[in-house]
Parts: sequence; structure tokens; C-alpha cells
Amino acid sequence: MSINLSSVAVEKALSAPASDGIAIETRSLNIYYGNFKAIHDVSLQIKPREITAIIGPSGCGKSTILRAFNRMNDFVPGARAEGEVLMHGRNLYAPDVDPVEVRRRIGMVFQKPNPFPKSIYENIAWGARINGFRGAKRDTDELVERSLRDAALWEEVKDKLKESGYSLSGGQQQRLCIARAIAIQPEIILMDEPCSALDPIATLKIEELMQELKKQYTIIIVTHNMQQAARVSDKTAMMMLSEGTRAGTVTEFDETETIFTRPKDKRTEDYVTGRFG
Amino acid sequence: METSTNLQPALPRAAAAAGAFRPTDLKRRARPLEFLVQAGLFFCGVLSIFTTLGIVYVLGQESALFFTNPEVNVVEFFTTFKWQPEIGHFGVWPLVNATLMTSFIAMLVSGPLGLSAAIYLSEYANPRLRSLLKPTLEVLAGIPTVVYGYFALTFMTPLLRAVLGVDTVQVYNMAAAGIVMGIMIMPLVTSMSEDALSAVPRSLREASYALGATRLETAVQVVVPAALSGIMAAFIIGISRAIGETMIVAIAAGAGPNLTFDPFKAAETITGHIARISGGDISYASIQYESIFALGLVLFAVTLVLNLISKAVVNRFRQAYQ
Amino acid sequence: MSATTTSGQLPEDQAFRQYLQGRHRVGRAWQLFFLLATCVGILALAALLYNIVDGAFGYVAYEDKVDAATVSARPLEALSKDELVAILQENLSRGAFNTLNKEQPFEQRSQGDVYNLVLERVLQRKPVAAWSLTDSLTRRAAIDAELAEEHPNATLAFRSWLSPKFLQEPMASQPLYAGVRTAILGSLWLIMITIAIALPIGVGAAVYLQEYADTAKWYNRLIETNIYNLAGVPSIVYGILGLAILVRALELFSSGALFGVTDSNGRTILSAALTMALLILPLIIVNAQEAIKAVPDSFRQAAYGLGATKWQTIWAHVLPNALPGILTGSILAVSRAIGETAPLIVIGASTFITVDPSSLFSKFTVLPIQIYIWTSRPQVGFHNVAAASILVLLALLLTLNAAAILLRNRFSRRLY
Repeated sequence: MSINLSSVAVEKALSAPASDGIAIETRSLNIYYGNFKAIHDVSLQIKPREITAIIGPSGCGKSTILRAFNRMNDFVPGARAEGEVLMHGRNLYAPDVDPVEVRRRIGMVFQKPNPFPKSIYENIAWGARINGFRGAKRDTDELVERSLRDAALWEEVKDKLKESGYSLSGGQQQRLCIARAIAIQPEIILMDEPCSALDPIATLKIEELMQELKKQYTIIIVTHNMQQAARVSDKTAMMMLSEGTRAGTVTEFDETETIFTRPKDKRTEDYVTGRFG
Repeated sequence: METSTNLQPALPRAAAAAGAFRPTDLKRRARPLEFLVQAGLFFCGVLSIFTTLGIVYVLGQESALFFTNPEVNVVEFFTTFKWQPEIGHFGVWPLVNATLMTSFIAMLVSGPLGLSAAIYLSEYANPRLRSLLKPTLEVLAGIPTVVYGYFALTFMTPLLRAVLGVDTVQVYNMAAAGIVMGIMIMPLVTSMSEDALSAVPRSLREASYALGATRLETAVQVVVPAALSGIMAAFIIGISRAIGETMIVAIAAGAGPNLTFDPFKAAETITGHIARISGGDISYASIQYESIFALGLVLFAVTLVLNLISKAVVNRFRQAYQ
Repeated sequence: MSATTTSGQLPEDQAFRQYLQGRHRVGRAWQLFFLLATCVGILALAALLYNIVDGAFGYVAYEDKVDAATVSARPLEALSKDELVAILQENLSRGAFNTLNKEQPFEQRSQGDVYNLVLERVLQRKPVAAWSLTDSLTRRAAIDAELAEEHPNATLAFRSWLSPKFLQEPMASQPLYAGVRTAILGSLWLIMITIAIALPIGVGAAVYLQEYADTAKWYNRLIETNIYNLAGVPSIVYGILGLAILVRALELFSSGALFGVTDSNGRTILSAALTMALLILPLIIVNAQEAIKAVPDSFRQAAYGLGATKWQTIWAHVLPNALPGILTGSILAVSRAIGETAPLIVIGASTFITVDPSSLFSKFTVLPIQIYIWTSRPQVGFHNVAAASILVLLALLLTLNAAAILLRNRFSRRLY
């Protein structure tokens, strides 16, 4: 399965600023839901155009951390963040930052594929349109084709663009959601267990797709599947409940190979060798 | 030590003492009480069928009498424009027209307002505000229609006359009745639409927000289209309610059939006419009496069709969220 | 709010931010619109209540045809009942006086009652103008002026159209003397008989549909669809049904002739109650179904496991646990029934009746019908008594709904 990168996308990738070689980072990030502390003191630096995986036992806050990047936690009543999340040197949680713009720059793919009840074409065109994309039909067609090609879905749906997004299989729907996300040209793509609802073949396709996508986008993926993390990611962050609390924290963050072969933290070693979790 | 092989003998002695319980007798017993009860309950359920059959039979029979009466002509009923039973005119359009006009005005009011309120309650309001606003709207729904009729006559009509002039707006007029009907129907539309909106899965909203959409864009371009079948059903039920409504139009819209397209004039709807005729002194064998049933049949048929359409709309267009 | 720099591209940076500002502005505007739409409902409710209260209290100008001074030296309010009866006897014709006595002997009548009679029949007091509460509170001077000009002989008095007397007096043709006692009693009689009929049948049907009916069978699905459709039939059609079947076809039964009652026709409380029962039946069934559905299956399994029959299980376990929901649903149905007018007009509720209902076969009137009749009269005072009756009706509904909430809470607590 080969992927065609359109010229515009390559151009964009080359021109994207790499400020100090960091795509996004957190500094002493604590997240609370009301009085309950969910995330404790996380400082991570994510490099651009790499795949960073976040692994750990369930309930330790992996999804919370992921959603902190694109401020999706804002929708939980009582959620607040202390500390900073910095992108291009700007704190995304600063009071003068518009979360809507944050979400334009940082896309998300969810655990269960959630295409809109619109046609395949509209699923992709809509996001661009509300973000200001204006163009003749030809331009929109081009945008849709480009996004579908980059998501490795074009060949399968090019003859049925007007059909509903729900007419696709699970794996195809997830790739549709990826195409939808990249249509608005984000810098970072967040993936929250994107393959957990898919069968192994669909999972494989998505993992291959990720390798191509990372040439243009920074990808942060949460997964409970250690083998997947080992296969797919360049860097891995190990998350666990901080000692004696119910708040999650990053206990180790390193090259994936190191995490899985020579982890420095005993807890990491216990987890990846399957002694618990 | 005695082994416990002697357990068995203990039981029959106790059973013999109790006298009644024979654990080996598992044959199905005839239970007359159970059967009677089930038959009785079945009858209760079937009673509703009898009601419908009764309605259809009664309306049908008397309508047949009405249409076979030499003074009345079915074609005339549906195609002429004068309803004056005293002189033998039985064209139903003045009544139908008034019904349609008042219902249309009612939907003009309750549709946009009801849907907007539903969008606000579902997509914007925080739980505290919701717990304040929802009961208030429910109170509106519980007020008897005769009270709305009073309101239409003593508040809405004077208001319209003050705003638009005493010459434009008659004392009895369709607009006041229609507007107040709209207010009465609004809680119904809001409640059904809000149910439809709330049924849209959260994941769709999240997908929309994650693309950098604002709350308005999400609500109007993603959630409402996804809930469209439920919203359409709400509107259709609202229309059905408006068509069947009696007291508001009987009090405020006017007494006396009048074919006009001016909403500020008086006119009598189908329901208002039935109420006025049956409230007066009519003899049972008269054509007036039979006309009640013919009109009732029209009413029943129209509302039944609307209700069936609404149900079909929900089933046919329901989005399957995977 | 122009979007992009070049066509076929997504806007970036400054152009994007500007566009985003526009989107936020539009979003805020529509949010305000949606909020205002929601508030229209609340405003309407407030206007409604204000309008009613406004009509139920205010100044009344009345004129006496016969001056009170010519009939009695002392003011009428100071006279004893016997003295008032004497005045009646002096000033009314023999026939009229005896008729009054026959309707209800003067010894039994209250003083207020006799006083009213003096006002009505001797002085022939009639209202000539009435004002709303707001007018009465804010425009007193203008009212006085108006009065001096148009009705110089009239007296002005503040009147609460809603008063304890209003609740106790029977109907009358004059608004000054009318009360809603007959109507309240009629409503209560009607609702009690309606519920006595509709509740057992409705709960029975719900039990059948939830516990016994196999939903795969076509006739059971037909019953359910049918109930759903019946709920949407306009209430006036039920009235027509009741008229044809109960009032006419079954007149022997509904008028009581079958049971020896001779002086009535089919337009009785019984006919009305049966019609209303049919009307609210779908409501009760649907509510009861929900309540029964909510009873956890584990209750039933436990009973069956002990060898109980189906009916034993239902009677001893399911129904008691579903009771709060059923009660709440019934009270909602009752609220609906109390406010219904159209079917009763068609059935033939009396428009003028002064005798309290005394049996199933009595003629009757109900509060909503009274409201309808009085609202439809343009003469002075009728809208005011209509407003007062509406307040009584709303108070009744409020009490019912409050009782529903209380009952539901009480029963829910008792179970656990």
C-alpha cells in the first residue's frame, strides 16, 4: 500500500517551524476535576514529526493527559489545569488563548470511529469549511481527494464519495476520521486508542498509515497495547499512578527501544514485562 | 456412628405431619384464578381497540347518514366554499381554512421558538439553569386550554389591537388564537426536540469540537441535522395538536364560518364549529347533528394520518449511530 | 467576515484569527437568540398569570335600581337575618318569595345568602363597569372621572371577585352573585368517578402489556400502536364518541332509567365520566407501563424462584413497587382531565345549573365549562368571575401536582 504525498502537504511540512526542536511540551502540568487530582506534575517534551506513545495501566490518566493538549478537558465541568502546555513557546492555557484555535492546530482521532452523519465528501469538506476554507468546487474536490489519499482511503471510496460515512467498515471509518482531521492541516495529531475498536487487519493498516503520516505531522498516541507502542512509536512515555495517590504521572519517558529493553525504572520494567497491568 | 443415609426417612415424616406438601407431585395444576386474571387483563388491553373501533364506527355511521342526506352532496362538501347549514350550504372549506390558518400561525410561533429553546437547553444551558427552565416550560404545558382561551381573548387580542390598530384587528380574530395556541404548543415541541437532541451521542459533538468548531457550529451543523428525524416528528405532532385544539379558537377566534385569508378577522375552525353547534340546542335527528360527525371524521382522519406520519418519520430517518 | 487570502486554501494566522472572531460573534448572537426564545415561554407564563390576577380583583361600579334607603332605615349590612327576610317578604311578590323559600327554606340559608338575595332581587344591583387590578391601583382618579361622566348614579367599591363566598355560592345568572360551588363539586364528582373507572382498567392494560403480552404476536403490537394513536386523537372526538354512544345509544343506561331514575336524560355525570375515562386511558396506560418496566427484574425472578405464580408475583411484588410511578402518572392524568372542556361541551354539560350533583345520574357542570361560559359573555363582570374561576382551577391543579410530588417522594422513601 503506497501513499502519495501531494506537493502542497510536503511544502507545508518543510515550512513548519520547529521551535527548539519541540512540537509541544508540558511543564509541571497538574489537572484537577473539581477537588480530585487526576494528573500530577507532568513535564514532557514532544519532538516534531515523531510518534510518541503514552502507555500505562488503565485509570492512570493517559486519556486525560492527551486531552489536555487540545483542551478537550475544558468540556468536563470542574476541570482545571495548573502548569503549562506550551506550543511554539505559547502557553495554550493562557487566558488570552482561544481553545477553538488550539483545536484547529491540534487534531484528534477518537477511540471509537465517529464520522458525522453526512456523506464521505462532506465529512472532510465540513471541517475545512467552518475553518474558513473557501473555494470553487474544484478546490474542495482537490482538498477531499488529498486528505483521503493521505489517509490511505482514496482508492476505496473514490467512487462513492456521496454515500454516508456510516456505510464504511470500522477500519475505513477510522481512516475517514483521520482524513477529516488532516484536512484542516493541524500540526499535531492526537490519537486516543485509535485501534482498540478495530480488527487486527484494520489495525495494521492504521499503523502503517501512521508511519507515513509522521513525515508531516507530530503524532501522540495513547494505547493500552504495549506491542503496538513498541511497533509504532519513536518515543514512549510510561504513566502510572503516583505513589499513594490516585493521580497519574509520567514515571519514565525515553526512546521506545530503551523503554522496552533497558527501562531505567523498575515499575516500567514490571509493566512492560507483564508482571502487572 | 450412624451415617447420613438415613436422611431421607426424616422428610416423609415431616411431610406427613404437614399434610400438604408432596415434593414429587410436579404436575401442572389448573389455576382458574390465574386464567381469569389473565383474561381480565387482556380485556383491559383490548378495550383500547374497542375505543378506536367505536370512534370509527360512530363517526362513519353518522357521516354516512350525513352524506346520504338529500341536502348534502359529498362533492359539494369538499369543493364549495360556503358553510351555512340553515340554507343548505355544506362546503367545508371555510372551516378547514380557518383551521389551517390558525394552525399555521401556531406553528410559526411554536416551531422556531420551541426548537431554539430546545437547542439552548440541550447545547448551552448548564444543569442549574436547565433545572430552572425546564419545569417552567412544563408548567406551561399543564395549563388547561380554556385558560389559554381566556388569555387570548382578554390579553392577546387587546395587545394586537393596540399595536396594529383597532380597525385592522377585529375583536375575534384568528391571529390572537393562533399565537396563543403557539405558546401552548411550544413546550411540546421543545420537549420532543430536546429529547431528540440529547439522544445524539456525545462522540459526535466531540468530533466536531476537535476540528475547531464553535458551539454554535456544532449545535446547528452537526447535532441538529443528526437529530432531524426527532425534530420533524415534534413539528408534526405540534401541527396535529394545533389542528385538534378547540377551546382557544372557540373562545377567541370567532363564531361563524368565514372564508378569509386575513388573520385579523374572525373565523370559525372545525373544532370551534363542533363546540358551538353541540353546545346549543340541536335535535338529534337533524342534519346539524349529523354534520358534527362528518366534521369529526375529517378531524380524526387528518390527525391520525399526521400521527402515523410522525411515527414513520422517526423510524425511517433515524440515524444509526455506530 | 471575508475568509481567506487565496481561494482554495485554509486561512492562516491573522486572516484565520479574524475569521474566528467573526465566528465567535455570530455564535454569541445566536446564543442570545436561543436564550431569548426560551425566555419567551417564561414571559408568556408570567403574562398569563398577571392577566388572570388582574381580572380577578378590582373596582366595580354598581347601580341600584331601588335605593337602599327606601327599603330600610339602617344600613343593610347591619341588619340581622330575620330583618333581611322581612324586607324580602315586603318587597317581593308572594309567588317569588315562596319560590325562594321552596328552593331552600330561609331558616337554612346563611345571612350572607339572604343579604345577597336582597341585593339581587330587591335593590336589583347590577354592575355597570369594572376595572382591572392595575387600573384600580394606578388610575383611581381617572376612574372616578370616568364614573362621574358616564354613570353618575353608580357607587364604586373594590371587589375581590375571588372570595370565600365565591367558592360557596352556586351559579347565578348575574356575575355579582355567581359562585362556583356547583362547578367545583361537579369537577370533583366527575374526576373521582373517572379515576375509579380509568385507573383499574389502565393499570390492568399496562400489566397485561408488560407482563403477559408476547410482543411478537401481531395483536399485541396492534394494541400498543393503537394506544399510541389514541393518545393523539383530539379530545373533542372523544366527546363526539361519548355523545353518540353514551348519551344517545345507551341512554337507558347512562340516564339511569335502567335503575329507576326517571327525570333525567343521557347528559349525566356517568356519561361524562365514562368519556373522560376513555380520554385519559392511554395516558394512564403509558405511565403505568413505564412504572412497571422500571421494577427490577430481580424482584420477579426472586418470586418465581420461590414458586409463586405470575399473578401472585405481580400482585405482591411488581405492583407495590410500581405504585409510586403509577400514582404520579394517575395524578398527571387527573390534572389533564380536570382541565378538559371540549369533550364535555359536546357531551352536554349543563351551562346553567344551580343544584349540586347528588348522584351518578345528576346533571352537572364543571369548572372549565363555567370559565368557558363566562368568558364568552361580554357583559360587565363576566370576565371577572371567569378570572376568579381560573384562579380556583389553577389552585386545584397546583394542589394536585404538589400532592403527586409529595406522594411520589413518600412512597419512594418507604420502599427503601
